[in-house]
Amino acid sequence: MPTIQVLPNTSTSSGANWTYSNLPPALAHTNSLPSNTPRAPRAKRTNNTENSAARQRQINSRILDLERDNYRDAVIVVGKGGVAGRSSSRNKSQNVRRILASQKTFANHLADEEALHPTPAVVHRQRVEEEDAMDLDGVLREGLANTQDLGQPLGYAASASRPSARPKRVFCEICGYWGKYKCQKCSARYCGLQCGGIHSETKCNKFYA
Amino acid sequence: MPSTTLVVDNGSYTIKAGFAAGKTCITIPNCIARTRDKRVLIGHQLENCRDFGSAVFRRPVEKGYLVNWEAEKEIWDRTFLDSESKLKCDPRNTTLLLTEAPNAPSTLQTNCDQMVFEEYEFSAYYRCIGPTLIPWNNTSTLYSPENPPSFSPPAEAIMVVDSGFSHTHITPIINGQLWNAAVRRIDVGGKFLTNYLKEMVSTRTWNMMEETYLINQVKESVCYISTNFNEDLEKCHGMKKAANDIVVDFVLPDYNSGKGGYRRPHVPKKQPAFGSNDEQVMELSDERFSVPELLFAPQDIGLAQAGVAETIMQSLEGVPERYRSLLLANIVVVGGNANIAGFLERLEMELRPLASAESVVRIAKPDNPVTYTWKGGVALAGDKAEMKKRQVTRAEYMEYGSVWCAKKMAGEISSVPGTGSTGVVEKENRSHRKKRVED
Repeated sequence: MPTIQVLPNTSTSSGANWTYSNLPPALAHTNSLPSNTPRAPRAKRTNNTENSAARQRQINSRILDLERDNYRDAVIVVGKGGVAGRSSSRNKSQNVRRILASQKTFANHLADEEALHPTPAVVHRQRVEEEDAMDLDGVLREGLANTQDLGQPLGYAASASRPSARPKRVFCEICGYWGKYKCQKCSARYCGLQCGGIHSETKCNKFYA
Repeated sequence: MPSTTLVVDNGSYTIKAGFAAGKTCITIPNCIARTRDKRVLIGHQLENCRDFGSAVFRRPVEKGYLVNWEAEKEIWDRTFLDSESKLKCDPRNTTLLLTEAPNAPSTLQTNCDQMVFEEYEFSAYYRCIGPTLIPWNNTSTLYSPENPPSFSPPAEAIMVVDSGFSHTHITPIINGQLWNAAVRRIDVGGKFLTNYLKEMVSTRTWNMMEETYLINQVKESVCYISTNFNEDLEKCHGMKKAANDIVVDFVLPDYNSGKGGYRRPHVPKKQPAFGSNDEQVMELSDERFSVPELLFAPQDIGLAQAGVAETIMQSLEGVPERYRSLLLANIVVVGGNANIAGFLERLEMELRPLASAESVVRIAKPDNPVTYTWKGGVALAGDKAEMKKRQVTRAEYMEYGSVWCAKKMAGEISSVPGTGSTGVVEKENRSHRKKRVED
């Protein structure tokens, strides 16, 4: 392991309650504060943006955007005009009327389902955790899998694929090449000087948010 | 006695439907569209439309599950009840075989049963999970198309990768039944890819944010899955465009003259001669492979899920060990995304190092991956005895109610309830009593 030591880049010396610096007065207080201040170093704070809650929100909203049907919300009202041969004069049953009038989206149904039958997902997760914790050899594990047999459906949430073991690759958001550099202000990625320029002129969140 | 069987694979992008006897599958867009001249087009009417500029869509099937019956009814009415439709049928004399996605919320399943029996009044009905129909096809011919085996027993275990419009499902099917504990889903589908391409193109060249339909066309005609992503990416950014064989042009459609868009080899941009050449061209290079790359690397845009190959391995963890090699040797890829060039090669390339060394990795794609599930449905409908065992007739539904009906289709009950019927069934019956009197 190489050891990393921070070397002072300006000649400062400090006593108990005072510091002496050769920097110009305007900058003197920035560099010469004793290192045991409770405040976190500036560099550390900016580096965190990649995994911050704000960044995660940004990613989530982007994923939601990618799942949309239309760029703008559009309401298409279906006409009342009937189809030849459709038996529309017949009285609809109560169920049919309820289903047709329902404006629930899939998200609503999913929330209902989770509230009504929370067991499958939870049980499955517990079972997996138990199994992992026990660290069984192959034969026993197979025995356990057999007891589940076909089993109940897992439910929507539990059947989602688990996160990938591979690292995330980063791409330039302007041209699609590898995103070697990160914007200091909004942590977007770019590949070089040219794309960085385009980014800060047109897309940088901190400017045009 | 119902004479005809209607097989319907109700996807989120298209409905694949046809009569079991006819053996022709008709594909109908499962959406309602409004064009910019404010016309509303429903289902098959979309095929007659030339101008999809700025069209907006409403889809009754959301994330693969049939949610909005108000819209779906409009489409079904025009498809199955309209006298001019090729699929016109009399529901009272027809058996319906309908597919659904795995892990559907039970309310949606009940809604579906109620609509089928109470609104359309099909005489009998079987709702099943789409991929379970795949083993009904003769899958062994997929692996050796030159000399198909003379005798082919139904495959014992098949791993179906169903990559559709709204998501990709990994579904192991063992002895014809879905292995529920091992079903996995990736939230990347055709729509996701189209929107990603749209976003990418809009940042770089033309603003296409409103042109979902067009970009879908572009995606279908130019996108491919790279087997060597890094090299292709270097090629697109390090080389001159003339020397790069990845770059293609897509000539944008001209709605005024009614010309459709098409793909052509890249032509370096020349000085536009005034008035002579007014075509608009979209150049595509790394977009061609970085878009479908999301199927194999969803983590790249921050989605906390694994790609197709890794998810197959995750799914195998939920399957007993003795079936794992069998499933790996019998992978079938269906759904619209299977048509993207290079899908099979890439999947094999990624799966081979993940799978254990002694197991064989064998992946196949049917000639038409979109209608393959439907074909399986036709094969099932042809087996009258099996179909009879699985279906629920309208009389049974009216007698025992929707809870029993759902249980039977999930395979939990095999016969009609005996004398000691449960309280639930009794309660369900009450709501249908009035109906029975009418009949």
